[in-house]
Amino acid sequence: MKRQFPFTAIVGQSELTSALKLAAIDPGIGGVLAFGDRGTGKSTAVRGLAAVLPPLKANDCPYRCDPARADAFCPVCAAELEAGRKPKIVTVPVPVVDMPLGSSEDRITGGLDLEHALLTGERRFEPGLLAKANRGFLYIDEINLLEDHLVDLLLDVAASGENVVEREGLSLRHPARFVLVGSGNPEEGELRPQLLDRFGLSVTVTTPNDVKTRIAVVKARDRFERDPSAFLDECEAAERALRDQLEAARARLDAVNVSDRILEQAAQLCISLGTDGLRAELTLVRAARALASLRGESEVGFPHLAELAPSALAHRLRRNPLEESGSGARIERALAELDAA
Amino acid sequence: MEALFAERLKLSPLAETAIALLNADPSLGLVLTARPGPLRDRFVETLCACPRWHGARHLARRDLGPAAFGADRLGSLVPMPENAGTETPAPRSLAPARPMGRTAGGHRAAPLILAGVDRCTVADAAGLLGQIGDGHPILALDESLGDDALPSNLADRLGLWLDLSAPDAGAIEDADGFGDDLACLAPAVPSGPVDPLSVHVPEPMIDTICEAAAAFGIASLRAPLLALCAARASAVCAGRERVEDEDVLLACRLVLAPRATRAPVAGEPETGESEEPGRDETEDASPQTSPDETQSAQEKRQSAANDSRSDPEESPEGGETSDADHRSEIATEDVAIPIDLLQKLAAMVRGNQKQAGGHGRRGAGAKTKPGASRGRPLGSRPGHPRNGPLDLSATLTAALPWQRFRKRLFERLSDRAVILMPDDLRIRRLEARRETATIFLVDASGSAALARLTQAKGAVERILAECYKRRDRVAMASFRGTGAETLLPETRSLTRARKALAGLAAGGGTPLAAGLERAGDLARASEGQGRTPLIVVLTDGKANVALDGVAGRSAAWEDARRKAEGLRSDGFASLVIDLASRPGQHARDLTQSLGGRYLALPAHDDGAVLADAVAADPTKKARP
Repeated sequence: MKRQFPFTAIVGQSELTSALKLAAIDPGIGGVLAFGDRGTGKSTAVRGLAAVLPPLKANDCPYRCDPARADAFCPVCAAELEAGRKPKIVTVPVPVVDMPLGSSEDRITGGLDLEHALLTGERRFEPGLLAKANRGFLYIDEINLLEDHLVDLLLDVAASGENVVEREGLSLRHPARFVLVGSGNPEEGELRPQLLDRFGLSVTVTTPNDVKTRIAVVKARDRFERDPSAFLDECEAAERALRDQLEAARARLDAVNVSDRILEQAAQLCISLGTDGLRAELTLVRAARALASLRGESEVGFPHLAELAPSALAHRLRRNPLEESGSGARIERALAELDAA
Repeated sequence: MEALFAERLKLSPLAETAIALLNADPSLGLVLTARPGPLRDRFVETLCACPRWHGARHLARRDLGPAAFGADRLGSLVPMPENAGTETPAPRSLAPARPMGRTAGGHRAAPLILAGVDRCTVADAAGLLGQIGDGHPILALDESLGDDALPSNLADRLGLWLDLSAPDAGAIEDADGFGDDLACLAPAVPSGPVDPLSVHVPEPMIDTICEAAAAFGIASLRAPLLALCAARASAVCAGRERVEDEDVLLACRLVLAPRATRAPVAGEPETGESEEPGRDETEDASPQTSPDETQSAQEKRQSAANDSRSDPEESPEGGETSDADHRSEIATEDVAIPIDLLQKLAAMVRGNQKQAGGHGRRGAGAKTKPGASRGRPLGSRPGHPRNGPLDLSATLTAALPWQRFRKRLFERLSDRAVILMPDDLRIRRLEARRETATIFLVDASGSAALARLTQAKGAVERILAECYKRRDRVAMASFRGTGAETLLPETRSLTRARKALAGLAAGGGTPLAAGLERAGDLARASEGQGRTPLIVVLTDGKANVALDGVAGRSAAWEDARRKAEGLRSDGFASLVIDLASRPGQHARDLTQSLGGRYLALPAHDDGAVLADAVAADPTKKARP
């Protein structure tokens, strides 16, 4: 297997890496969207993430069902359970699945295994990318170029956590809970607003402007390419530390307290910014909780909200497509007002 | 005669060097800009004769479509996408899988040669890249000749960018003093399989490369990394064990200079970024002059710039002061950097300037099309239903003639009504709807500006909003003074369109003919990419500058009429919005020549009329 550039060795891009960490702690945040220039390490960050994620305990089935959630078992595990057997439990790495842009719909949802059908005359379901991404991450580079109906499909599945296949005489549903990570370059096309809203966090990734950072990036990458194993060994300690940190944060997540005051502030912020729907508040609070948990704090505070507001809200603001000023400034203003109040 | 021909076919030293580098490190990749022809064939032949490019696979444009990519064409050669494949069974193609790419565990990669990349979309390229992964040896043949059309994601990943059509590369080399470096490199072929990664690179060299990339205004961090690889490969070619200055220079020349978005200007701190694009556009504005003339003009300008340069050691950049600070700081720290490096770099990019201007804005040239999974049916072709909807009746038709034979062959299955084989499968081909591109040509001359340019800007914004709704693409050009300029190459980004519009300056004569010519260029490029262009001209129609830049109403109008009729005969749809304060005959005459629709700019800002004008889809009645 190809070795990926270690997540912890990524220079800069703290906004993106922390958004990914939060999504790893609480998958319910609902996906990360990274928009920015080419060659700024978007893909590197996502692919490197797999290595730092704590491994999963899963049933030994194509969908990696969660043994703790018998209600959401896939057909394979459900049949096992019905037969009175306990599904075998194995420890597997968290899947980070790359979805190529040219993927067709049945490659994504899964479909009839045609060759099997032709050779044996049996109908058999062939799991698609969604099945492979269950309980992990699904990464789509250039998501803004993905066909709209595919994006819709992905977001529907991501929201419901279940993939329903009704086609070619197959009728089947299987769990598909994954964190959708999209990246793209906005200059090549924009993502429709209704799709933007479905992503939990959105970050803008820019090329580091200062030459020293750029030199550091190039040097690190160069060292990695010349001797990947030595470089990975060097980073091993940091990677392990991060893995432990994520695991601890996940365990702590439910214990983090969100006071009514924080909920009220989040709501006020969203009202003053005029975001549509309630998804904004929900995401903001969830992300803030994950952030507090990551930092080892037991209580969500206003600083957490303030820190996450830009990435949780910027892409949800109603915006004239031709409007020049960024939404960042509006959020800053709203935050300042809230802080003063 | 023969000898003359052979001489014409001789590869330039730079091309020879590129081949040597590619042989040393195939994963560098190359974008080769050249017309199809003997010279290009020669280059490809020479490259394929190299041991590490032997057996390269040729892929044509049609093999690159997202639908074609699923499995069939490449499936037999390429393993599934890296991550997606971790838990999948091997690709089910019948041919045995052969791993590709340097990353695939030590196996020799089968290099790919992609023809007609300029016609391939970002989505196509993403499909390919997803299949083969980074670092796969690719030679991309770009036939667009600088029309700004290469998919940016592919171009960004390929190291060397070489333009075979660049006039007389030798002359520039001598002028820059590069001739020597190349001469010693060209014949060198690596004596053995040396791994470029084992070559030592002193730290200051890395700094230099990053500096240079920043000075060229290259945003992507892949560029300096690729330059580093190229420098290593160059050292390998020369049989050195550490990278020297000339390797870095060569890398900058082949990797960084063609990507430059601005020229690192030495000793002219007042020449900020604001002025740089302007210069590019004046270059672009003279498409009629032959390449040679343009080149010599550039060289003249170059030498003039060189002469006027007072202090060659001064920081080469006038843009961001922070960058400039860094550079001077490092330049004083690191004695290893040749003092004239940045100066040489500046010269390099000027040699490439036309190309540089084009490539710099490449991100905008990308296109998306709805893809072939939806659209109008076009018949069917053999293929796996993973790549398109199954055409059941065609599949059965294909299988029927063989039934008697198959029943004899597969006795076990003889009770089946039909025996299907994977080869019988037919999928429907679908034709995607053509996208529309709206090309704005804005009259920014004094007469129009006086009248109502601000209103015209408002009008353009209205139409832009309409384009946004329809997911159209837009391009923008303006004309004033003596020529036209492209404000915005075709893009889907409304933000950029708005910025381009806001930055529109006005004043000067009305070179309507030059403007129409520019719009025609944009429209043809757009059509070449499979879109339907619509030209929206905002002008008062009072042309007073002819194509050759000479003022004079009658000649100017004659030229404009000729250009307009040219556009009409090319079949481009057009809409003329009359900017004159009293809508008059001029713009109507222009409309007639263009064969388009006429609209007087509403006196008060009546957006609905404009939006209707565009929404009515004038493209429908366009084709004669």
